[in-house]
Amino acid sequence: MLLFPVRLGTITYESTMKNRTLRHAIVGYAFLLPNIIGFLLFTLGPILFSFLISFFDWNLFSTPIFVDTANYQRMFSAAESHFWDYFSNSLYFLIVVPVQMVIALMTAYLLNENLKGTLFFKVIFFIPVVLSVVSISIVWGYILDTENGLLNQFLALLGMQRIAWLFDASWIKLGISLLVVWQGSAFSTIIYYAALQGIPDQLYEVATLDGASRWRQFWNITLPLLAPTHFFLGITGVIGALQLFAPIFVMTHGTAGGAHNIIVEIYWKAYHEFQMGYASALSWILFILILVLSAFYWKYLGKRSETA
Amino acid sequence: MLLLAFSAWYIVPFVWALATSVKHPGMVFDGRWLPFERSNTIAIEGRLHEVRIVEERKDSFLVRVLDSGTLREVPKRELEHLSPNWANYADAWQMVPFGRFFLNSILVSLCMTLGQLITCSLGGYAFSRLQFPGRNAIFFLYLATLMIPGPVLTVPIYLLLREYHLLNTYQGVILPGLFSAYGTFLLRQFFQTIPTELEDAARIDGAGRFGVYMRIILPLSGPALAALATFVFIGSWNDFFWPSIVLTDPDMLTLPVGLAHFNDIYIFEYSRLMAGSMISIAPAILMYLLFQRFITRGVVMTGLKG
Repeated sequence: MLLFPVRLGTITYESTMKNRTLRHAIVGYAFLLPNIIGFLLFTLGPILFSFLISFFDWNLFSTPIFVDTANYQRMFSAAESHFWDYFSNSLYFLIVVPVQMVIALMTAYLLNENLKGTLFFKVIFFIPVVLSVVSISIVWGYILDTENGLLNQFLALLGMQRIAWLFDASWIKLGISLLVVWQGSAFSTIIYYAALQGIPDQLYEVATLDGASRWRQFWNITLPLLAPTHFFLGITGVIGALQLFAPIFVMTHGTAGGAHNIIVEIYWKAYHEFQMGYASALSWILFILILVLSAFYWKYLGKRSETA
Repeated sequence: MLLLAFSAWYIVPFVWALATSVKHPGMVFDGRWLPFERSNTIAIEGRLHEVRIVEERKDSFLVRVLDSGTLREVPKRELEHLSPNWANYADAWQMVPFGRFFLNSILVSLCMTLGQLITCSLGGYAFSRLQFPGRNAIFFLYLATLMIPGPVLTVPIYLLLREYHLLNTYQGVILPGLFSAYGTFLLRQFFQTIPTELEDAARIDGAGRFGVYMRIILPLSGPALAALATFVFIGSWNDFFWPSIVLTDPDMLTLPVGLAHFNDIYIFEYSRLMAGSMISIAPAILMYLLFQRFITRGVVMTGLKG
């Protein structure tokens, strides 16, 4: 802050401290105004409202009735016999996180070698990131087609049975996970690649002088230095995997079938059955699930990667 | 070699979809890679003979029958599987108002991007530079909400829009996207790195707060603003959940929602579906190739998640 009085435009700063604070407050809030309106209307307000109606029974057309924690109890009661299926389906999709990270790390590592044609490969590897999940889901819907799909043709080449990827409840989650990994690995490749570019070459030069093999260099230099990136991709991956919606919805034409997860259930309860209270309660359970998993990841995996 | 293997993982689905998109209806289920065939057989007097095209005419092909060596004129229809079927694209374009969906998507995405650039930069500036009571408390509240998943917010926002009859309007899709706590946070962090000396100098020269924001902070924040713009634009361009809830009028659908409807209606008509997907993918790829560096940097800075 300025220590001596100066003329700023037409306003003198010789006024008392109190006026100054007031003026600062007005300027501050004026800048914040458009932002804070959005925050109150579309973030903070909805959060409070959602929490409130999760304790009500309300189907949009009736008067809301306070039901205490009945909505929360209902999930775990016999009335919602499939809740645990939806819950475990949500957890199932977490397998995409480590898989896409490993694929991405390998791809990014190879890109970072600066071989011939790296630029070309970079363009190809990064493209899936900008594509809409819906277009990709349609393409993968055909790749996973039972009769003529690419994947089943490939399996047939290996002498394996055809699989009804999108119709068999025991395979549908794996089928959808393939698509998620496909797009997710492209995203993770960009992030890993950027992080690898930040590792100074000298570290490798010194290690080479010391006679460390490529494998040891990768294991002892590259991996540990990427710890913050592993952490970032892990957390965002977990949050994304628990909120998977578009691929499931598009590939199953809205039926979800064996891939019905908590998000699909929220969508169904809120926008088809209009059970706003129950849907809100579900969304809070999802929040708690995300919170618990993130905390778990932070505590165990986050720390381990820091000390590795 | 390994790189090639990895690029196959990303590229094979495209090639496959592209090949399928130009197949003739009867060929979609033959599971072949090549969308058309080099040589084929035709029936002459009840027996199949292999033929090769010699010359293309207006409605027919002149073909050589390989076993007898004679020339024959055959209607084009009988040999249509010898050439790619571009008609799938015309069909897809006709079945779905892609042009309309494009315009809707562009409108929605541009509004959201512009809106967030304005609200987030103003708010980010307030949080990074201005002194006002409750600043830190409010900022902490913003940070706390970053953890809350989208579905918690969508039910109440849906109810709010319903209350004000904004469901199934462009405003309904756009309004909630004009602001984001994340964008505000991102720009605030960037503004923190700009040295305050520049600002103080401008203030001594008589610039007001808004002048400083317009003439010093914004011009110096090009990369951060570009990153946020990329993040918001790609995110809203590809968003499916929210527009699919708000929009029901077929004329107002954004591209992903329209495409999903297309997928539901023409279920199993794979060659047309693939043609439709290719049409929808093309502008995204074009945009990507044009702004490649820019987009990659934006993705890294914002941690964009498709």
